[in-house]
Amino acid sequence: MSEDKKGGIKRRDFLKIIGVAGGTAAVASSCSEPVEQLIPYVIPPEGIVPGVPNYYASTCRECPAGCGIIVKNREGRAIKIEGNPENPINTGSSCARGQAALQGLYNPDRVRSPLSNFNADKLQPVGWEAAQKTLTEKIEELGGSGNIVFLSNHISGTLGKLVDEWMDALGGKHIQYETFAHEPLKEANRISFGIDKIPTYHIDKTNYLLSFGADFIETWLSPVEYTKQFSKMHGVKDKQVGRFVHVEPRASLTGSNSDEWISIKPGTEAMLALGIANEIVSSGQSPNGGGGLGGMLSQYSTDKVSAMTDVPAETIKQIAKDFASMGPSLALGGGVSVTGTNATETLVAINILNYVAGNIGDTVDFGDTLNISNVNSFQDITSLTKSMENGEVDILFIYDVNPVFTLPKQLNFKDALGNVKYVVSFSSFMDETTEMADLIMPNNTPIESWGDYSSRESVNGLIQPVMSPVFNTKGTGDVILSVSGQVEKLNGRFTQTTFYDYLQNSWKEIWAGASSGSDFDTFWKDSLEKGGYYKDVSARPVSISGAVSSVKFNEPEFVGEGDFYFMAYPSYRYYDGRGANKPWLQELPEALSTGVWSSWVQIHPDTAKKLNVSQGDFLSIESSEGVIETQVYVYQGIRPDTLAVMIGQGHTSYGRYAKDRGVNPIDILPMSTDERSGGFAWLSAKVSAVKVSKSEQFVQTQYTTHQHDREIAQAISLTELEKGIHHDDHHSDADFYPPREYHKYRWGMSIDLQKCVGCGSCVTACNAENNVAFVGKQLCAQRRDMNWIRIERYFEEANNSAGFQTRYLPMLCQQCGNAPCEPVCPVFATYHNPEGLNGMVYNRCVGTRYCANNCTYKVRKFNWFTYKWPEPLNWQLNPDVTVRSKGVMEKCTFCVQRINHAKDLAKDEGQDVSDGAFKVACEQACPAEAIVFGNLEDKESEVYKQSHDDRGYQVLSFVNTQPGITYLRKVTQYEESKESHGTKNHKDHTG
Amino acid sequence: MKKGIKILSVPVLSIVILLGFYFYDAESSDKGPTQPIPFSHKIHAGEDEIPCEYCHSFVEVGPNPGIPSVKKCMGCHQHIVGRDVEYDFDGKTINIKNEIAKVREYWANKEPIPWVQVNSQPGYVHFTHKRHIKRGFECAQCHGDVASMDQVHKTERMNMGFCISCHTENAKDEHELAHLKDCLTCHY
Repeated sequence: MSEDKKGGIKRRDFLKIIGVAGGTAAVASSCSEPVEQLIPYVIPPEGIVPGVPNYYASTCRECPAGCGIIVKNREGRAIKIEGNPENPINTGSSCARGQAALQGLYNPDRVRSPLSNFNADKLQPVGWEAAQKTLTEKIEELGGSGNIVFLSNHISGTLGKLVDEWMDALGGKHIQYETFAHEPLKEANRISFGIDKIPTYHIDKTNYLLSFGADFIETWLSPVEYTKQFSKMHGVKDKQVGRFVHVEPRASLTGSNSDEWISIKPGTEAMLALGIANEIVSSGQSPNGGGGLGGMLSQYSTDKVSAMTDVPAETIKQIAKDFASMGPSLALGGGVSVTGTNATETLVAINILNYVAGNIGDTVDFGDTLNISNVNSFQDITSLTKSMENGEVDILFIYDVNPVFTLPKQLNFKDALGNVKYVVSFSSFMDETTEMADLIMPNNTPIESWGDYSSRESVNGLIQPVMSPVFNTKGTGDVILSVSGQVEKLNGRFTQTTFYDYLQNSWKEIWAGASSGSDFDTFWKDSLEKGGYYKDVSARPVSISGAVSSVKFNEPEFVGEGDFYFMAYPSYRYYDGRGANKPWLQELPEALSTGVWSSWVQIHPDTAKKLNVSQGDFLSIESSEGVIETQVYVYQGIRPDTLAVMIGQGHTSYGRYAKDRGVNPIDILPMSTDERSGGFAWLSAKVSAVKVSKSEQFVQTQYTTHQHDREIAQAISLTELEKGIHHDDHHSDADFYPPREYHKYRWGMSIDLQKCVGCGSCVTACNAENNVAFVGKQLCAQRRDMNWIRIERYFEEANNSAGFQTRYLPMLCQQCGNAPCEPVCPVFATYHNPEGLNGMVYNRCVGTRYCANNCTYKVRKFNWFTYKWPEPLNWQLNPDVTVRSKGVMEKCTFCVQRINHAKDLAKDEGQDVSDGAFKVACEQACPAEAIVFGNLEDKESEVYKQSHDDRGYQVLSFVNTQPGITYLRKVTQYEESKESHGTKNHKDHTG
Repeated sequence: MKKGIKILSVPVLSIVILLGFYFYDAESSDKGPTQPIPFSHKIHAGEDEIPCEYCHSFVEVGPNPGIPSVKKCMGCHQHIVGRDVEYDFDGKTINIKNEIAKVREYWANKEPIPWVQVNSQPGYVHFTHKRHIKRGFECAQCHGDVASMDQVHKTERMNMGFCISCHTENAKDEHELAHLKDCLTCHY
């Protein structure tokens, strides 16, 4: 260890010098802060105050429901989407997909500028002028034949009108394609009532809801609206609850919220509906005496129906009795499970059931019909594909649809697309269809554009730009008008040069129709502020047509030789696949399995045993059309003869978050149609399944389905609810310390488990509000997911026909009065604040993780890495919330930024924060209105009342954590059996 | 070699530490950051008696006071081209007319002036000017006598001790004190 031979430096000395040098550097660098620049506006935009958000009302376009939204804008960037309380559809709530629209806007894989292939194979970026010139030339060159088709999604508003006019002028056709177009529903209503429309339903006015496959909490027609109505109907009022029975071969998320899940033989729903109707009429319970249908119905005797449907005769009788006596009642029919080859007949049968029970015109409303009734049928899409195949389409415009992904493979849309001379896509995302286009003219997302959308008669929703476009994109309306100005044939066809002018002009008609008495400018501004124009549409009286008696109710046809019925069901996270490129939705645990970032097949435990597979194994599913291989999720809520895979994954394109993830079950569906309506028959495949030698961890966020007697999600029976519940005194006498005292505010929350449906809107809303990072599948597998709020789901044994009951419980930081995390923090980074919050000071945290270890509820999340939001996803981050970095613990603090903001505003007025002055993110989003937040010190507040409800309890209260969150027990409507778990009070846990 | 380092390291270290203290202290010394244009608060706020809120106009309505847009500068300097005189700007001689010409140049090019931040809080501190102004605090209480500074510099280090001591002195009652000393008031 002496000087080395070359006379160089010794190791010890080297270290010393480095030490001194390093110290110098450290001291020197710690003194000078990095130079931050303050860049002023050159010309300040009107109405922007730095640090103060602006809110713009608009309309959500993530699905055809068209909910009203309010987008929060900070310094020119959209950072949060919330429901618009003015809009009659969603009245202030939103779903996870709506929340995640921001990750569409800021998606790093958006098409950033126009692309053209210039007769080469590769798409290359071009400027807008060049792109428009190319399109103009193509229209001049190929447009003469009039073989032009504009294929769009459901665009009911002014843009739809513009496209119609444009296509008229060019001699082309506008075809509106929706993956779920509900043709059988229209056709059934035409047969039954002579109206080929989709009505609106009033679930909230019912006491008894019978759903045949309609997944109204997930994707069916208007999920936010119907979830809200359902929670009103199913929630506790005056010690009474509504009853919900769901009929489907599998218990979907909607089905899992039912009081009774009827596991019916696939395709036999018509029989069951008629059987129930017959039972009602023949037992004299029909208010209209069966309306002349008694004779027809008498063929469907209960025993016969029972044999056909696998539903016990007793159950049919019970449903019939309740359906007739617990009125107003309502039977809904829809969703993939009733959309087989006999879909229309099934829905006619359900109409008959509603009719004999006297529900038509009461809970089914044909006045305010849905405009999705107007989209083109599956037959139109089929014939379009044929003509494309035959080379009869010269120019095809693609707008906001992805038919290559959403149409069954057998239709060969992809090949047909190759035979179209020129394909122009307006998509902002490189999806399976758009990547085959010759010219891509990326559209602005709805958050960046002007527009409108009318999902129903009563609502004209306005869409306004909340920020300037993120990328070099342009509104399709503007492109159409600008190109039209250049095409010779169209000269002078349109007087407006911008879509904004065109839109305003079109709204003059609405203004004239509204006869509001104000001038147009006032009307326009007023509509913009409210998010649209809403009017009342009176109900239309309908009567059943004699035609129903001539309808023959056939058995469904299934294609394929396999043993299993195959259900490809729309996902409430991805809808028809369009949500799959949003990491928030990928990382939102699916309610039933809590699976993330993947696809799986739901399979009954008995079937799993038979096939010798267990959770995580891969199953090869083969239909007449092809094979998919996917992971097994063993689920008791599915019939043993049925397999189900959700739609939405399996993209081969569509950006980094969607690509090569899971499988697309549509790929193996046969090209069957519903005979009467021509709609696509979603349930028509029989498949075989074999185990393959591949197994992986099934990545989920909750690995148990049992409460292990912890009684986390509790329930009481209806009889108990009626009698009144014995109350425990929360063991306050057992406490060694005096109770905490609060001045003015103690923030608290109540969560009604009878209302919570497990939809996960709160999770996504929380992610958006609080800059919660997404971590990807690999880290989720290592239990490092970051969601601050999670939906715990438990399957409880129950004495109902399904044999189990699903309980959902949103779990978030309980803001304990006596928090186990606080005393173990060595640096006081977490503490109880004077207003009852369990504070978490990120800049103090040194990352010992003792708090998480000691947390009773496991709601603390640790940043194992500094998670990145790829540019420009980071534009969405809420500037009011610190972005946490590696080594820091984080958790829910009841949106303390919103609390502080509300206090700030109240102080301006010289007041205290009043009840309901603001909502926390999860509460704001919740479509079921299960979450109530507020000040527990205010005895008049809603949260105080809820927290002192008879059903109130606190999770694991015997640990004496004194949570600030009170849960309200779920109400079970079946007779409680002695061995059922978790339905007892927690008396036996004292001491 | 070994001895040399040993002997050297003591004075070197002490110098380094002393230098460190000097720079550390210098933050609140009379030398603010050099700005792209030697803008004199002494002339604007002092001699011309322009109220702070005229330029920092959001101070009472939002968390950030805001810095004036180039348009706002031009609101006056459209007409005021400045005297062609030399001016002692904190010991540096400048020509007023030449400097104002720079503002007009930014405006002509429609470019923002890249001012350098003098006072700042880290991202995990959520400070709001509005509450403090509404409570009746003078700007000078935290920012010093800006009206007498050519180049603005920090007069307070604005660390948490500074906040808390002021909060403690000014709290109306124990409840307000509890709130004003609560971490979640600023850190979230």
